[in-house]
Amino acid sequence: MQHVTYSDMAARHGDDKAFQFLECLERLAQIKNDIICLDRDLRFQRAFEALCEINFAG
Amino acid sequence: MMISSEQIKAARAWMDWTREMLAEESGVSPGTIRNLEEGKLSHRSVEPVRIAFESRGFKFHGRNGISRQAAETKTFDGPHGCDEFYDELLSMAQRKGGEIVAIFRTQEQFARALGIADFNRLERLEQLAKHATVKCLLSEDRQLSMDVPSMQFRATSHNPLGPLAQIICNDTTIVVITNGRDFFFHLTKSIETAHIGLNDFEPRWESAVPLIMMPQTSKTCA
Repeated sequence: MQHVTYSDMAARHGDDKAFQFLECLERLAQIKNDIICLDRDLRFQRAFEALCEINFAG
Repeated sequence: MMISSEQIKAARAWMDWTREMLAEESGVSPGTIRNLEEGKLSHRSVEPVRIAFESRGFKFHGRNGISRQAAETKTFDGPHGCDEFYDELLSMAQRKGGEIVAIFRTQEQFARALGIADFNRLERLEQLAKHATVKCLLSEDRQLSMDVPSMQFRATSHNPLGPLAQIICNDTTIVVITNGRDFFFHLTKSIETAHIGLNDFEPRWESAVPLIMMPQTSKTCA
């Protein structure tokens, strides 16, 4: 399934806001970015999928 | 207020619009835009162009100055985030009315985002629906028992937003992020962002299946 990506959010809302969404996704999914990962698309995907699991399990 | 041909050219360049695009935005012909930019100004032809730019946040100063207001943003978060967000949304609906469109996973998620914990007490939805038509697109047709006549729900099988949800109320776009328990709301006041969101929403809404409201029965949130 095609999901929304970091690039989608950045294109629509600007990079600053997209990064704020990414941090919020990680916070709500309780993901710590302990591995220094600079790829925001990957971080977004990881947090997005984790939150999907939490939401759909609930 | 009359604006000058220099201001029209500068604002069009700022938006990276062709004359045809500005003509479409303002509802005048491309020939009229060319005339305006060449200095052939009349109040009647300038007015719709000025309004088109001002609706995109432009301000005109004197004969040569232009500025553009940055989009206003606001966030709601924390234990009272849903209540504060609901007050803000209700106030927007009371001020401007019109239509609120939303994309959520379930009716329950939508209700929780508005701070509703007891699904027998839907006064918040009723209040909102008094001031605006609410269209809510869901990706699951699992329903609460609610009967709020001016609130429409439709279901679609494809929702790329996943744990995100979205609400658009007039010129304000709200991104909602949730883990099912906590909610984070980010509001952006920008006509452009709202236009993009509405253009995404409309075809999805048209192809979605209307949900028939179930009569309210006794049901309480766990």
